[in-house]
Amino acid sequence: MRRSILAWTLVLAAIGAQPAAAQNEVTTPRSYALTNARIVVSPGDVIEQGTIVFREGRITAVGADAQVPAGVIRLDVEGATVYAGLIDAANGAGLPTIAAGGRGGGGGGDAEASGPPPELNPGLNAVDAFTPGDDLLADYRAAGVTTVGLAFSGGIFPGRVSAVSMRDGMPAALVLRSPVAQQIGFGRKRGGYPSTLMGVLAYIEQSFKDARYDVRARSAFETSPGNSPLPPYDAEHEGLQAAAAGELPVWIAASGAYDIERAIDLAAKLNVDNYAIVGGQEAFRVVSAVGATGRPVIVSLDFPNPNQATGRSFELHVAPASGEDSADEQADSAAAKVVRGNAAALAEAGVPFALAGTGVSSPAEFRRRILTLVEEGLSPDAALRALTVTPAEVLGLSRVLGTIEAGKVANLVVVEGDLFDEEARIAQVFVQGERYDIPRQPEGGGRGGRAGGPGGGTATAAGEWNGSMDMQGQAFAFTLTITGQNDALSATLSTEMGATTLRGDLTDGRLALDGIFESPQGQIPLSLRASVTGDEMTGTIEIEGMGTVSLTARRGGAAVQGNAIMDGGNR
Amino acid sequence: MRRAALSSRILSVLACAAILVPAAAGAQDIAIRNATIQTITNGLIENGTIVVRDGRIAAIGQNVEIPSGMEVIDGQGMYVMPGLIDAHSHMAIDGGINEGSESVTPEVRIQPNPDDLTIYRALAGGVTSANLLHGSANTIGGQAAVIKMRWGSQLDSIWFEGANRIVKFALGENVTRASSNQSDADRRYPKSRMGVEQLLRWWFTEAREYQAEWQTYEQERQRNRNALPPRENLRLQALVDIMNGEIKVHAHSYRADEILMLMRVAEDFGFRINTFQHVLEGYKVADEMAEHGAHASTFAEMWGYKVEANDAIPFNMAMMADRGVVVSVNSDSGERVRRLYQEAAMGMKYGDMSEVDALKMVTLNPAIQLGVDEQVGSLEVGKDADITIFNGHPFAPASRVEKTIVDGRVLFDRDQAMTLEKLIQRAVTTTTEDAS
Repeated sequence: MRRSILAWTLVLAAIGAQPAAAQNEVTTPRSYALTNARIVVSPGDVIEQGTIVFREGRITAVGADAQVPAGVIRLDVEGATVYAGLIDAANGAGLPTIAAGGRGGGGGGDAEASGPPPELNPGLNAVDAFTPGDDLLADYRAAGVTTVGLAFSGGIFPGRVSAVSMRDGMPAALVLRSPVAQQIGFGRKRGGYPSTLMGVLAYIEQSFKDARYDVRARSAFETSPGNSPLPPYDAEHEGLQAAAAGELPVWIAASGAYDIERAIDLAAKLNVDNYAIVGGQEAFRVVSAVGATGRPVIVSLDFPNPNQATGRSFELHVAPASGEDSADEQADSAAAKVVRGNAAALAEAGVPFALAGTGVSSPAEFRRRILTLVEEGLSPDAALRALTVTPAEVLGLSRVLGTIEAGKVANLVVVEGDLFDEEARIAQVFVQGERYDIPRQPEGGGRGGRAGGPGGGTATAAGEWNGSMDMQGQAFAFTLTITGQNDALSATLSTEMGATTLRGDLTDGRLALDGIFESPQGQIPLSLRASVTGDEMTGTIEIEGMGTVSLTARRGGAAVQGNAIMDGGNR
Repeated sequence: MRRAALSSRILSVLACAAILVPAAAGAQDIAIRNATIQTITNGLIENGTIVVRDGRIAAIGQNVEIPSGMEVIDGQGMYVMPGLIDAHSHMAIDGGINEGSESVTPEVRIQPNPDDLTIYRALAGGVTSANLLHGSANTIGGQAAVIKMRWGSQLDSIWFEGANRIVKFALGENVTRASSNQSDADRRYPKSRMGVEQLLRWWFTEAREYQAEWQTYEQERQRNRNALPPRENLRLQALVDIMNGEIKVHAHSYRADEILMLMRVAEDFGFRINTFQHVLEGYKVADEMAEHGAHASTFAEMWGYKVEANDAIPFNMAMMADRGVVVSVNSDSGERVRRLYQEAAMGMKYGDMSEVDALKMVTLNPAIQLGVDEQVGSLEVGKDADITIFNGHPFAPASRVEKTIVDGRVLFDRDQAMTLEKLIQRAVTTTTEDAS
């Protein structure tokens, strides 16, 4: 209560002190018109030059002749192509890792913590365990990814998948849908039963039977307590009930060919129709079995080591020991091609699949691997489908995401060039209508590596920045004065409300400043996170307990007037 | 240094050689002619012919005509016999052999790995089927996977369709962890042979109660269609299936007293032990085993590797067979599986088994123990075309397998395996040149 009063105090103060909006135009937040865009509405459906209008985060019009209404910010993106925001269908980045269980029945080593063991916690929604860290969300956006299916790696019943938006904010504010699916894996229990693959398969089957039985037993008890005993409460069974009842899809993690077959058998044994295979790294070996299920595969781009891929002996007929390369090298490159051709093999067989970064080191690497798939023969349309339409379906969000159509959420990627071309630059990403400008990669900065010195080359954060925050629909002007070296910055954030001192650093173009805002109600921690490109800054300020506001600023020049900065760069 | 380089070169060549095996194709129609054919059940046929169609034996005999258009293997000088069967193996298993976390786990089932290299080695030893058993850590372990050696097949194609459902029991030192270096307090129940018997009786009593609960429910349901059934329990259900004879017991055993104990327990609960495994003291209780109806699958001459194996004698196979027990000799090893036929030969040396009886220990008898004797184990019209071609009598020390055929498909071919030797030669030559 107190916090919401404070929020309104801030907002009213902003409005009262300085009506920041331009005189004759009232804009609504997260409302833009991207004009002169090449629009890839969906895979294979392209508008060569058109306009996308979205208001309050949702697309209202798309077309060659779509009208730009008053009250939205017009961005001319001539020369750029706009795609639906990419979806990483399954990824565990930002989630706790679940250690592989030990073999045999020996003790797990860990003292029993309170609560369920992480490998057997089916009721946990991934978003509730999500701690994205400083850069993860921005790194996803830089790879064109606007939505992620948060999914645990490892375990037996590690939890449930959550679909989240890659906008800045507290985890709960990112949720698009949760739970999306119940996760099942062939991990092991740490200490005790089940300690083997065969044990795990039996355990899963028994657990689903128990979950279903509990529902039935409880209903019998509540209907007729005189004749039926009170069934024992079991949190694990409780957590599985939605999936056991068919109300929640099941995602079964399986990488190797035989595990994929086991997953298909298991689904039949569990009497589960609505399921997907997650990982599927060796689906190319069992394409027909997978295809026969009619179920989608969520294909990880964490390619297995070709030397360890099963079936290598049978699939590859490599001439050994001829030519310059060693036999090993020849075999490896041929095997590696087969392994990387997994998605293409599924595409060719017409098996629906979504691409996922689960197990891949970073969003940047995820994007790199997508490019590799396309280089090696997956058609760009198939790749785009596997990054938009199909993952939207497997996340249960096909009406919400996946294409650029009126009514859908404004998740968009603005690309200078072709998305699947290595030279292309992802310039801008909109997540639920929120605009994020992607900083240019430093020239010659190395692929994915951190730049050499603090701050990444010559760029410095020092100077006087003028900008505005988007405060509940109203632009709120500020001045940010930064001094010092990039690795030890001091700053003063001045608004009509007063000044706050911040400290932090600039690393690889990412500005991080933290401080305490002294309000009449007490101290409120502020965290500023922004990308700095040249003299432009985009990012957020998190006001603890109240949420996050987006900001843009420009170094030098006159203090901004409300929204002027917002489309200044594109006019 | 040079030696290291050489061996690593050979290793890499070997890895590639594995790639050169013939890719599994559909069933072939093939014929073998001019061969010495050991049918096992219908005597020896000299200068005989076998015709294979659609994966099955279509004709066999001296005066069999080979239909035109068939691929023909010249069997001149060859000794042709049914594909060998290994009644006890732990090869080619994915994700663990022992669900050793608890001592009674009959609900779990061995997960085969068709990609495993030991399958190719087994084929090179003429073995076409095997019983992949759970390990011996548990009093009642998991269910077995009876497989055919369809190396590299999909998982659902590796199973031997129609084989018995088999569960592994174990008795004695492995179950009680007699040789474990865990402290007594850390070792789980049962820690003694008397504990093993008690645990068996306790669980089968539980299973009987479970079965009774379901019977009561079935009656109750006649009166009340909404009656709440008992909770399904896969473990207890497997025990019920054992008592009903739907799952056959293969019991790891050594000593005569524990063999007798297990037969008594089984009889008390109304079932039979299908096969005693290892059973090194079986010769002491062969009459009782025969009366119970138990088979035996043993080693030829391995003994003394632990206290409970000290009373073994190599005459065990012959003596049990003599008393009417169906005896097989097994490998229990991904290595020994390559020379299972030599183990069978020892039945002739120790105890004067007939040649055919000795050969039965790696063909028809294990087929009986696995419940597949209608399909394999002898060369007869209508049976699966699982055939091994030796270049001489399998008991002759220099003989080796030339071809192994599974379901009419040649899955091991010495002619192609020769490539491997050539590759080694090339590796040796190249490396020597490099070094000079």
